[in-house]
Formats: sequence, structure tokens, C-alpha cells
Amino acid sequence: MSTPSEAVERRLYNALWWAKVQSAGPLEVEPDTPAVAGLTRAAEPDGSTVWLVPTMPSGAGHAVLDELGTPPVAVEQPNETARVLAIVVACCWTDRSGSAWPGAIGTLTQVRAVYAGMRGRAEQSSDLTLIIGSLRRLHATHWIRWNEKAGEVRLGPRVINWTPADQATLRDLCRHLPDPPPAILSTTPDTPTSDPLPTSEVGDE
Amino acid sequence: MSESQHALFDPLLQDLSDRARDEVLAAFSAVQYAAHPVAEVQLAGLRDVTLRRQVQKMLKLIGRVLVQVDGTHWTSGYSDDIAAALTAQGWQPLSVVDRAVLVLVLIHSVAIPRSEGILTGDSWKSARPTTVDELRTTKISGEERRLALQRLRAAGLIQLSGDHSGGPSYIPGPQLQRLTPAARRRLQDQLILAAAPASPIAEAIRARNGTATPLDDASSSAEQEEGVA
Repeated sequence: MSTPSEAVERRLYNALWWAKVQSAGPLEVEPDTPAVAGLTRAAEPDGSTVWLVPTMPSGAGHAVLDELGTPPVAVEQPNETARVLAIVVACCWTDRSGSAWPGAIGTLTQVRAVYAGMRGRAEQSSDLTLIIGSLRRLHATHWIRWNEKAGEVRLGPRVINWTPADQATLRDLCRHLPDPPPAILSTTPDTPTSDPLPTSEVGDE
Repeated sequence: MSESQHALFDPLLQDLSDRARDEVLAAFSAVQYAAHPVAEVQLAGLRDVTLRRQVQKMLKLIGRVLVQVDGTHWTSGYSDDIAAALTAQGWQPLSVVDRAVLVLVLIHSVAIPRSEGILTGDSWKSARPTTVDELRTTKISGEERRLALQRLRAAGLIQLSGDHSGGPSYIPGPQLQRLTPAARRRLQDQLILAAAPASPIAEAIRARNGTATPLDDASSSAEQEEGVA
């Protein structure tokens, strides 16, 4: 049992971390950072850092906004952005029997190929602008990690919160997308090809 | 019900009836995720004082509070003590360029119209657009400004104004409505200190905050912010 002052300190510790992830998005911290109640830990594939990702209780979320007819903060180019996220999932979630995090590294070449295939036509010059814009937006919101210099992409720490039901929907979506060509990476992947690192929802007693 | 465990909120939610839990979570989600403040009449979790207190408690756990807007709407914002603690730690998620561009929009869309008596009250909402010309400064390149505008729009801190007569122009975004009364005053004080450091009103703000000269550096103004909350 904790003393009352420890409980107050614990509450302040949690509230400060929650305020940080709300203002800056999921945060990359040292693995020895103590647990924060309600923030899931997503370990980087090499184990050097851990992402803290906010989770909500079931029943909380955006669904209520539809019922109220009130919009969330607008996403620019929402259709293109959603399309590109789906493509990154198809390219980077290679072992679909397991969690989507951390997934594998995909390439811009793969994304462009699937995008053109999805449109059912050869690639057009305007496609690249739309794709890059979407990749940047998704990177800024931590849905993906986009390395513009290397032209490589991974899924972002937010995907750790995808539930089994979400994953079933996404698996189905991936089946409807054209298969990406094999990834030819410019860097050596440090991601193990099997057994995604264990991740855990961290609790507070 | 097959609810999954939530380490932070469960101790609070488990004492509620299923119905109360649903109402509280709906109100919590609405004030957290809606771009704009939500009408109190729309949600039992905001209308009913007892349920609203539970929403407040949930928000408190994550460093936030309910903020009332126009007497009939609610949104959520950072609680003043948490904002002060993070400021004292030097926490700053916006880059210096993003902050500079945001401040320019706030000066042209709010501070100037307010000083002219066109805008009243302490809200940071304004329909007076800031044009791209007004955002031009030799210290920020065109490309940097363009990227900053994109990020600030994505964050809901600014938005495109409906007035396109002179090219794109911007007004403060809906997120500014999440400021608590104390945060609104701090922002106003900081703008006055930056824009007119030698003015009598700036002198009065410094006296109230217990800071002496107009030559304070950035680090001491961060401490000063903490003192206000």
C-alpha cells in the first residue's frame, strides 16, 4: 500500500506525462522510465527506447462525435491520407498473425507501386506529391515513422493500440489491396523478421 | 460487458452504473476530441452536475480541466498547475518558428483589433484575418513559414479564414478556445510584454508578476509564467 503523499505524487507524475503525450503525441523515452498508468509502452525494435502511447477505456473515443454531428480537428486531404496509411499497413505489417507493431520497414517504391495499383492505372506525376504530403502528415501524428532521406517507412507507435477487431478489419483491407513488390532497403534492417518484441500494457497498482 | 482494463480510469469508473459510465465517457470524449466546444444541452454528462463532476475527475487524472465557453458550451484544456509545472520543466512541443508564426497571427487577428476596441472580452477567437503579407518577416524564410502554417493548421491552432479576397489568410484556430481564464490572461500579458515592453501596462504586469525590468531573458519569463498560475 502506498501512503497518501505517495499517491498524490503518483497522480501528479501520471498527469504530467499524460499532459506531455497530449501536447506532443506519443513520446520516445528511455526504457527505464517508470510506468505511467494508462500509457501503453511500445518498445523500439532494437530495445534502445520505448514509446509511451495514450490509451482510452472502451466506450471513450471519436464515435460520440458522429452521434453529436460535431467534427474532430480536421485532417487535410483526409481521403489521400487514409489511403496512404492503408498502403503503409499493407507494406509494413508483413506478419499479419501478430501485432502490427513494430512491423517491417517498407519503401517509398512499394508505396508508389501499391498506390498506382489501387488506382488501377500507371503512376502519374502528381501521385508523388500526394503520397509525400500524406506520409509527412502521418509521420507528424505518429501513425507512421517516415524517413524522407532514405525513402523508408515503418508503422508508428500508435498502431500498438489496434485491438484484435481493428486488426481483423485491417487484415481484410490488406487482402483487397494490390500486393506490394519486395522491399529493397538502402539501410540494413535491425528489425527481427519474426517474433515482434513483447509489448505490454502497463498498469499501476 | 467485456470491458478491457484501464489502469488510470477504472478506479473512477467502476463505481458508476453502466448508464452513468456511458454518459461520463461520452461527455469526456466530446470535450477532448471535438474540434469546437460542445453544447451543454447535447450531453447528459455535461448537463447533470453530478455526472459533470465525474468528467472533471477523469480530466484531472490526465492534467486537464473543463473549460466553459460562452456560458452554454464546454471544452477541455490543460489545468493551470500542470501547465505551470511543465513550463517550469522547459516543456515546449512547438518549435520556435511555429510559435513565432502563431504569435504573428494572434497579434494581427486579436491583439490589434482588441487594442482598437473592435474585439471585446478575453477570448482568442477572432474573425479578423491575418494575411500572408502580415506574416512576412525577414527572420523566417518563405518555406519555413509555409511549413509552420501547415503544422499550426494541423494542430488546430490556426485556421484558414473564409476571406480569400487577398490570397489565403488565417484566423486563430479552435484550440485557442481550450485556454483556461488564467491561461488567456497569461497569453495577453506575454503579448503586451513582447509588443510594448516600455508601456505603463507592461510595467503593471511586471509589478503584478514580481519581475523588475523589461530586459528579462526567456528563462526568467518562463518562471514568471509559473508564478501567475
